Amino acid sequence: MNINDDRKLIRARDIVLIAAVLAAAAAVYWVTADFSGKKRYAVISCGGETVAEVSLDRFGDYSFPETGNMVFTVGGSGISVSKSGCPDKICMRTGNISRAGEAIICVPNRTAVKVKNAPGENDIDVVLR
Amino acid sequence: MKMVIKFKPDGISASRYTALMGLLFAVSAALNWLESLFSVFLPTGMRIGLSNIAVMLAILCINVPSALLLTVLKACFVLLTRGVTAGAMSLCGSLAAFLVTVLLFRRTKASYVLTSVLAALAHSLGQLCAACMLLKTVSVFAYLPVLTVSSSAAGVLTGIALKVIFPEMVKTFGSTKQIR
Repeated sequence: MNINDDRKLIRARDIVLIAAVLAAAAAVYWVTADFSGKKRYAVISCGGETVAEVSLDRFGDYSFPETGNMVFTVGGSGISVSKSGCPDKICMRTGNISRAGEAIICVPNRTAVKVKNAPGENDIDVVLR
Repeated sequence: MKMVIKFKPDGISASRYTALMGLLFAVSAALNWLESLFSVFLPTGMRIGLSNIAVMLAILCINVPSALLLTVLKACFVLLTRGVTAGAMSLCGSLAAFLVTVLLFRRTKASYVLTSVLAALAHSLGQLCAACMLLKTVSVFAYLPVLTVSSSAAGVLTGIALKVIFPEMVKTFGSTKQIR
């Protein structure tokens, strides 16, 4: 006896619901992503504490004592994690991020990189905390 | 009053139950490994949630406590193979997916695809919440839009797989009469 004969594979209203969820995701992405040409900087934090703020105009490699063996690279297409000792390398595979609101997360290293818009005409190169 | 949680349903012999649970756990462990191969090609550490199939099958053809046992065992497997952080994230994600699946399969007549899509979304949300607590930052939720798309795709695949596999499971192991 098939005990769940009446359960359907999919219904029309399910497709509508899933489409609505996808549309909401696209809307959230559209709202949070910022396509304006403002100056941006990356906030690197470890365990909730801000480690450094790096301007995305200052190309080069950065590493910080708090984030161990991680190397952050700022280049033409944004900031990326170019080296990390974590097992999964998810942070490295995320690649370059450059738009405000985008983030790279490395859970094993408790590290997050988040891109933000520079407030006003404030021209930051690097701020170390 | 003593609460006794019964794992084995009455309509099934002990050896059959052991075989079935072993099989489901092996499937979830193997799919977990397969998933980690897939996630190499995907950015931002997306997990496509294939190993949820085993837990969903357990909810459908065994009972809720057995499915919960499988969920915890799966997290232990991840803990042993991929470390504490991955284990904690897997546990949070799987528990969220488990709750959603139990609610939808036991209380409603929601379709396979809808249930597995919502379970996959819960899985992603649970993982993000775990990451949020571990990192003490809300910026992890920047991944949410991308994860929504990948979870929905994975959910559709899982739902179709369930629809195909479930009748065969019932044929092989027999109905345990646990399902309404």
